[in-house]
Amino acid sequence: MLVIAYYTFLECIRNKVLVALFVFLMLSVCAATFFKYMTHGEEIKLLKDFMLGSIAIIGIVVSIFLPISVVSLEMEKHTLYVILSKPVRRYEYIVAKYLGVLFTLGVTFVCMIPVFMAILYAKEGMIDFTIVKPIVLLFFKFSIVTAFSIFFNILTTTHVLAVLISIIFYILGHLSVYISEIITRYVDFALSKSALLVMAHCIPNLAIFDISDSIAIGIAVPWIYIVKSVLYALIYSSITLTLASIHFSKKDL
Amino acid sequence: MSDGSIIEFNNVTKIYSSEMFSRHVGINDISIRITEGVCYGLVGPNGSGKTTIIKLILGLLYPNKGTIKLFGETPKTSHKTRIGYLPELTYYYDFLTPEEILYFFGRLYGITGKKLKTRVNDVLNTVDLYKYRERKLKTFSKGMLQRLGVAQSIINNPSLLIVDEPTIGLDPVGLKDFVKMLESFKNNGVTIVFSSHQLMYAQKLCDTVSILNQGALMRTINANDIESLEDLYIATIGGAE
Repeated sequence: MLVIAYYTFLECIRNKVLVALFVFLMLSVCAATFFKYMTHGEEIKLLKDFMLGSIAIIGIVVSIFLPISVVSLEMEKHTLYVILSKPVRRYEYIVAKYLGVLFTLGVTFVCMIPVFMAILYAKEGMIDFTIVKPIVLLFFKFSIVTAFSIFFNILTTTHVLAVLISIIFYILGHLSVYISEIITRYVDFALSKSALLVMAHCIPNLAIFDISDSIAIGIAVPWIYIVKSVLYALIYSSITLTLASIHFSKKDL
Repeated sequence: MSDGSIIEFNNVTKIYSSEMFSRHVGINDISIRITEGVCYGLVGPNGSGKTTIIKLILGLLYPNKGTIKLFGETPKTSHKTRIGYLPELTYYYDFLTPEEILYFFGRLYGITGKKLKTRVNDVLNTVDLYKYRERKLKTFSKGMLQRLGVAQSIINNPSLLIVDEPTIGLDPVGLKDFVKMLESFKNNGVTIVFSSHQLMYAQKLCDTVSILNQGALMRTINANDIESLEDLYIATIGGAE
């Protein structure tokens, strides 16, 4: 399984769009350090926001768009047939692809952290670790998105549809609290309310992984919150991958 | 596998129903028995069910009706350690070199270390790609990619080799070399399932040939008992249409 994950990672990091985006975002963050028309505090806050925004953009590209090339296109180009004609179980293939994309995500984030810290050090004159916690949470947020994106790539027959559903899912994931609240407030019939609430809870709450505002205004986020959020991501990702594997095992290829 | 059968299809039917309102019969009530060491040819027009049979053998498709046995047992993932599969032109990660791609496929079979290194060098020599082992696949011609396909299909030293339309993209010399290669595998006791439009080579290479049309098995013949497979093919398919 790890062999497939490793080659998936190699394929991902050779993606020219990803590399170009990575370089562009890093240059943008570096360029942002030259803006001098704000107070020092605002400047640092804006810089941190900009850094976390860059990470979020890379996260979206890796977790939503890369599964197309590593799953859907492999089906289309028949590479999948060759791999599955070897002693590889279908669930192993799914998990390996997931790990490959996740590894890409991790390496991209890890490459960004020292640059961000160096910039903050140059600005603040001290090493600022506060940016690490939100990046860890963003990684786990995108681990859920990757799992769902792989699931949708297996479920649907076109790449466009898979991307579209993944994006809708990503947006709904940030609104899931409001969706539950709207259902609770405005749906009267008890049975419908329960059914809709169950459906709403199937969408993970991705908003819990965004702590950039707290970090920017200096509110400390306890480690227990990070641990709970990570567990939440692990559970959601595992369930999604299990469902994806079950569906893929039964699928005619 | 006491009776020597490597592949057994008993009244197998596969119906594709991927689109909402359409159902397409891939193969209909087909029974096949392929014994050890035999080269078995599948010929027929496009959409006749050749690839469906191959996908069913490989477990890429599931039958709607009937039973399939591999090596005398219900198909299992572990059986694939003994199977090699060569599809028609396929994308192999073009940022890799032949050596790297063979290491990848070799590892999928659980081959590692020195054994894998020796095996990779052996198959690269067999398909005459050794001198190109460090060249990126993106620079390869179709013929070279097809030879790499052969290399990946024999990396595990298979006892059953399945080749699906392998001649697409090969020039006449490449085609001749390819058939020679298959002949040598056959002479070494490898069971081969060969699907192709190249009737001349199918007759030359195969012991038994099945003619398929629209998902039905029209005729199974001993290749040595006939004068021209092409004539029989035209008579069979022409008669059916």
